[in-house]
Amino acid sequence: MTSGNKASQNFNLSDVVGQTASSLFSSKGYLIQSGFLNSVAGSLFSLSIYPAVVDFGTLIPNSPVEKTLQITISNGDVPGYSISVAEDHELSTLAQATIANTSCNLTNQPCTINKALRWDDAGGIYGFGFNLAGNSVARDFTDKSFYRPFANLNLKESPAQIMVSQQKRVIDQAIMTLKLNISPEQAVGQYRNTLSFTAVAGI
Amino acid sequence: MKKDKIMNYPAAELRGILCHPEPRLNRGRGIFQLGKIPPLSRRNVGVGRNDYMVSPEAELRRIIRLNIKNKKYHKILFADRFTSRVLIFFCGFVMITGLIMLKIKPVEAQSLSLTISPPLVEIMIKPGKTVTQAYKIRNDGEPAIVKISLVEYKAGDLQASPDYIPENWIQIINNDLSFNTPFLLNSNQEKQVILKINPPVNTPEEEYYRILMFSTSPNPASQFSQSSISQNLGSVILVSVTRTGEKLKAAQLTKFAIPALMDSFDPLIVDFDLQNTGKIYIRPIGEIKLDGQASFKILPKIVLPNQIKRLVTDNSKTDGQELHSLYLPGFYLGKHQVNIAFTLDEGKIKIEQSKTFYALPWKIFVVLIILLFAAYQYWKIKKREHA
Repeated sequence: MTSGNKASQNFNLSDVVGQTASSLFSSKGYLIQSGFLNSVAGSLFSLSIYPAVVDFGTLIPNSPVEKTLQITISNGDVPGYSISVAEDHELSTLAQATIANTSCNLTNQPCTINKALRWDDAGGIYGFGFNLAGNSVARDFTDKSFYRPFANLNLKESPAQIMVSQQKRVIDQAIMTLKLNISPEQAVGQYRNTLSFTAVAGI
Repeated sequence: MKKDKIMNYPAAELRGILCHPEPRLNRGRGIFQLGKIPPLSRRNVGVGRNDYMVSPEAELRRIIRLNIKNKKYHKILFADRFTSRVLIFFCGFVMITGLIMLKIKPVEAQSLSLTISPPLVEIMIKPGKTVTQAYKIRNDGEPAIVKISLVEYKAGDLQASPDYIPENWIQIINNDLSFNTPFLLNSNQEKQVILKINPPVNTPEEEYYRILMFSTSPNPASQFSQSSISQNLGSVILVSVTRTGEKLKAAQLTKFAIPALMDSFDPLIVDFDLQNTGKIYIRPIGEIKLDGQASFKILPKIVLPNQIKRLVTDNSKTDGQELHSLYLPGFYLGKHQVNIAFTLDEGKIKIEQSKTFYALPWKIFVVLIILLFAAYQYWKIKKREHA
């Protein structure tokens, strides 16, 4: 049984040669395919993140640290994809000192895991958050000063979608900027967490 | 290394230096490796890794003082301006030549990069039958510890549900692999994973939407504050357990948005939302037509039961926050008709609707009317002055 798409200047033809799906299901007891007319059977779906570890170096109070990550996704013939991100917990030391996630400039109307808002360096606003830039990133990252906190799996928050596309055969890139600013009262130590990026093909 | 300059070192940086097992000081154009810290001073620093009985600044100053006094430090790099330029040029030349000669992609050095195939599998199966599916996973990044797991797929939610218990009739049959058991995947290594699906005879006739998730473990921690990265790459598995192969398919267009009157110079924006009201996932297969001539193929994307999904075409575009099914810039004048017609999969259930809209260059008309009115007023004032 074969199938495929043919096209000429005026016509598009999708054909299936051999048994139909229903007769195949009746005779074999199962039917298996990848995408419409098996169109994604040989497709490669890949995600690359660089670097694999983000070192913030020595943290200095009131001196924000910004580090970047490069995210690249390729989806082959699958129509679309989505990428979500979450942290396992807040940045914390072995002694359980933590750096809170940012709430951005306005404490009465804070940025959320799904809504980026402005976070300026001035004003002594502390915390940890991220900005995104790229063609397919969430639209609330209006410019480089807009940040979101990470969804916290420790608090049972669902990973937040950061990149999405509906198109086939795309190779999209995004730059994630991680920003960390600590207060003079922040306890000394090595603060760590893990950021998990999840990519699933569009269906 | 001048004593007075070291004593002025920023306090916060001193803390970082102190935490390092081999403390180094970067002063001016020289980097100084400090001598080994006496064991006593380590004990004096504190009882824990992050706790200090004396201030870290005081402790590091004491160590530096000891180093200077005993002349234990040594310079590990010092370069004057000329030497540094020669060194930079030489190092750059060697690196670039090496990269070209060896065709090394620098991104591979410290990156996570997994590729899977296929990204989507759809299975319709009778209870009691068995089917196998081969997956390939390749690592294009640095060596990674990878774990395979089965996750429940819910549209719009990728978090693994703690209540979800994986079906025991979905198994990995490789001898050396199993669910949730980490394995090493070296750089450029490819591995085949065989998944066996055999729902028992008494399996309820339901839809089982799952993700075969390949997850990397984060790298071990270093001496600094850091965020480690892990990646999860999922392949969607849509399993439909059915005895007859016949399941209720039904859907309705919940949105067919088109402007009744639009400006001739504006792009034509049309939105269609489709709700799956049946018991099984569906694909809309059909097209959207403008004036019965220009046609735009609807991308056959899956709509899960109860899901409402925006239909997309190759001419879809995201404008601001919203994705539009059709976004067609051009010049439109007069009466036009948009028609949508599609079937649910390759079946006989057909949905068809059409709407009419009118296009006029009304924005120009408004401007012209304002200009004419202004000109008339001006003419009236002039006439009055003349009189």
